Amino acid sequence: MYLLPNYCKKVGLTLFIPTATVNLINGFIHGYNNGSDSTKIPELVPFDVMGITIFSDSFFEITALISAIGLLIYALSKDEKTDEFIIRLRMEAVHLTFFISLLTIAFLLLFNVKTNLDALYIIELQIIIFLIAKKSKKISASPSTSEGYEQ
Amino acid sequence: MNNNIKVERARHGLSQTALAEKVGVTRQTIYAIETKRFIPSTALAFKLASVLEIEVDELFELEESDWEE
Repeated sequence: MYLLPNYCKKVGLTLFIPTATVNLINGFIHGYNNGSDSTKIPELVPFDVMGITIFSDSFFEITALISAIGLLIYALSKDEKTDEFIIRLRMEAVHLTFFISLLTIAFLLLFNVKTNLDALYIIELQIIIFLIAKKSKKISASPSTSEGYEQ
Repeated sequence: MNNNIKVERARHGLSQTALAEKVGVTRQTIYAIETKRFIPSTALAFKLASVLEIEVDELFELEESDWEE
């Protein structure tokens, strides 16, 4: 299995955190203002920096794409220590993510749930499910002191 | 698959962490092998046997159930 070097985790996080934060704030403002009739939060006002319009619609599309790429780089980077067992846990997490995605799609189709989630968010959600599954598998594979790992 | 890693590790006075470092794996891997949750590759089995100064077939032993899979 080809994985990126461990330092790419930092690269991925550096791309993901600021871009995801900007999108989260923008999404919260839009969601709040659409849901509330009385009080409105002031929207992020677009402005130009060296010919690039910050906080425009295309700006948010690009930052959403960068955050997904950052998360993907993080997920595809090696852990600090990787061996055959850790790779197996990673594969099990991929299987689990696949089945959860399949069940979610089946649920949406069977119950005719209409959702306006775009493809980029679905990909990000899948990567987050994968990271949670991998972490929980690693934790469950770690010996507790009651099982005497240092015996 | 049965294994005597825990016994051999104790004979050498090695913790799971120390053995893991010597063979270049994580301690989760040693724990998973000892508790029969993971069967190591041939290369790792030979590395473990080498560090624990024992033959591979003395370290690992097939069970009846291994023939049924």
